[in-house]
Amino acid sequence: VKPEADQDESIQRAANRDRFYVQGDKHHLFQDWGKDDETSALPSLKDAFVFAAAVGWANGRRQPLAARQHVGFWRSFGPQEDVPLLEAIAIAETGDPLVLANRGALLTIVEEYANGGIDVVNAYKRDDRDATVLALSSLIAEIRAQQD
Amino acid sequence: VILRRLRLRDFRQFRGEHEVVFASGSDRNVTVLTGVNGAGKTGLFYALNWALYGEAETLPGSLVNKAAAQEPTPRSWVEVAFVHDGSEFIARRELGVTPSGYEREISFTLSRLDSGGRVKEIQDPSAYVNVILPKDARRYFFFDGERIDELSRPGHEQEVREAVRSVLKLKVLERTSQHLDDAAKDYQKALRQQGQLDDEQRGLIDAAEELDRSIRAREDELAELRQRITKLEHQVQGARAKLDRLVEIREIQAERREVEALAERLRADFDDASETLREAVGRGAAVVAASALERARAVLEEKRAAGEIPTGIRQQLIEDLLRERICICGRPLDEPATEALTARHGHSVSSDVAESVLNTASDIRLLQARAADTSVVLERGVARRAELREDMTDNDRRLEDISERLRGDFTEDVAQLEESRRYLEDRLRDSLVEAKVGEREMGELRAQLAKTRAQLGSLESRSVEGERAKRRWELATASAEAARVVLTHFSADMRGRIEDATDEIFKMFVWKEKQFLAVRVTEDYKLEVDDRFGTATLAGLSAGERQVLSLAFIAGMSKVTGEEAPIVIDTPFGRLSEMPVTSIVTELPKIAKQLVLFVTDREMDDEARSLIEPRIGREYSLEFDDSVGETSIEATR
Repeated sequence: VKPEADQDESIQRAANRDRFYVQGDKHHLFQDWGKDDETSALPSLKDAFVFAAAVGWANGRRQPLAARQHVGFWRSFGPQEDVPLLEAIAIAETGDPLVLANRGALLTIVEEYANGGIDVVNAYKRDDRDATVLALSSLIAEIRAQQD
Repeated sequence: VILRRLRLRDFRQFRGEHEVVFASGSDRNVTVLTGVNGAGKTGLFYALNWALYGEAETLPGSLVNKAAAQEPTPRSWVEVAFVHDGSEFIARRELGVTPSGYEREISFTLSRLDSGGRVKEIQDPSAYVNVILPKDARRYFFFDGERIDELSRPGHEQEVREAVRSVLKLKVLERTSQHLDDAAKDYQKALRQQGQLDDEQRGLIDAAEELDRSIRAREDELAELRQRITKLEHQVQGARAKLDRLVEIREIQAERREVEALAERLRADFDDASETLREAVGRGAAVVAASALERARAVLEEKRAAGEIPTGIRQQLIEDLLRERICICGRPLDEPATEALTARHGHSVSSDVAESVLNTASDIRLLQARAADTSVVLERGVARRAELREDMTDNDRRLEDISERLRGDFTEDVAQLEESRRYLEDRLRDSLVEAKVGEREMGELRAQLAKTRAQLGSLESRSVEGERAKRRWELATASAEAARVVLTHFSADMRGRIEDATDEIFKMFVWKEKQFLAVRVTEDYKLEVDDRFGTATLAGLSAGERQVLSLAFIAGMSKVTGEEAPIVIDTPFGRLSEMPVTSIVTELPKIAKQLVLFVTDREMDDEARSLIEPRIGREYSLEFDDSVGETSIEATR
């Protein structure tokens, strides 16, 4: 049993977590979707992560990570679009804005949604980027239609 | 000749005896024999030819029916009854098979039936038939509809000349002229040999002979020159057609450049649209998580309304106000105000978290607005992309079409082609001038010859014998000259009349009358069609159009001869489209004295059928029995 002071420190560290993770065996999927080159439909891995989290949320697929692998830092998320979206998911999930005070909890929520979402997204992978972009746009349109 | 009846036995796929009676009424002069391919139409068509001329040259296989050939003494025959000059004739040809299996003609008889019903057998039947309907003219009355376009192919003047000579019996006149010419020469020789000539006479005969030789040599030269002219005319026409085509190709290539430029623009637009779409998809998470944004915003609003989230008043300020017990307006804080501030202070979260929550609420509102924009961009992007993809496909199709139009085309330098055309035209002009000069010189030579002969005629002979020889020579020379003049005038007259008749009939048949100005049969017997700009356009006619032109020419010859002759056509409309067929079935029965058509069931559509219907006097159906490989002839009218 850790001493109380250690526990407090550990909680504090978790609350200030900066790293975000994906499930180890799905790392390659995120890499594929977010390669920083001409072949990928999404600009970078963190974009694939955010997109997968949004899709996971929209499909109610929250899956805890079996074995996690570090893929990036909180600071890599864009303050205008990514951060408010991830925060919104966490607030919507918990119904408590105070979740924003606990980055660790916030990240766990979105990591788990990204983990469930990436499987849905992956079904829309096509042979070339153009076709994949088109498939993703149809996925977006389908989800939007469900929400309307 | 008007055909009455065809009877046959064991000929080709017709086992046993069969009979076809031909319509020959003035109103109903058409006989139609219908059969599917392979039913025996062509066999029946050739039975007519074979009975009259003993020829069935293009028929493959044997003439004797295969089943009949197995009999101990196989014997086939075909009998054609026809009327000529008011008398009825029956031509009958029989065929047997030798023990070694070869087919052998057994007999050919031609009988004339007089009005009293007496039968008289004609001696030398082949020669007689040949006089009635010359063998070489026959193919212009009995012909395969799909093969007659040869007549109007460029470079087939010889065929046309032969057709005119055969059908109009010019050969008889030519032979007469030649015969008289030879006689005149013989008498000229006799005149010289009778030995009573003085020097002047001998000199004149020598001069006449020399002139005659010169004229003949010049005639040969002119004939050769005319052939060269015809060839050059074709070459010039060909070069012009190529040049026209090159101009057309240039236009097509200009069009291709335009279409290629458009393809490039469309590709760039498509790439732009794809990039815009990709960017929008990259921002699509906000659209996908719209419900999270909405829910988070509702939570934040709710907490704010419950006072659980500060409205933006900083914690430090509240603490300062409570400690100073002074309101923000400067008045002292009363009890209720102090309680309210204390409550707010108690509910509030740490200042960092409060700021973060405040910022998040504002950011979510902005993100929702951006998500709405992204949705619109996505929707338009997908539509635009699809639209551009469709335009690109259409454009690709245009490029493919252009490529198809250019495929197989020659690549030739225009300048070189133009050079060649000019060279050919120069040569043609020179040849035409040369021909004119030659004709003038020939006229002069003929005049000189006539003068020499007249001089010779005016000289008195020394003896009665000499005088007689001179008279005979004079008569033969004058007759030969007269025959030559008659032949020349008659040929020219007939050519003119055939030209008029062909022109008239072609315009009746053809379905693009306005496109064609006139049909000409040129001096050297070339069939030519001028288009509406007056340009010779024979080389540009389609095979169907050439077939119609040939048919018009044959019908024109038939009309000009004024002879009663049937027109028998195997597969008349196989290659023609609907329009000329309707014109031909309407007009041809009026032109021909008798019309016999061997047609497939598909050659005439309902309209053509209804048009020819009132002219059909007899109709037969050739029924092929596949199980035994034999055809029977069923009269259907």
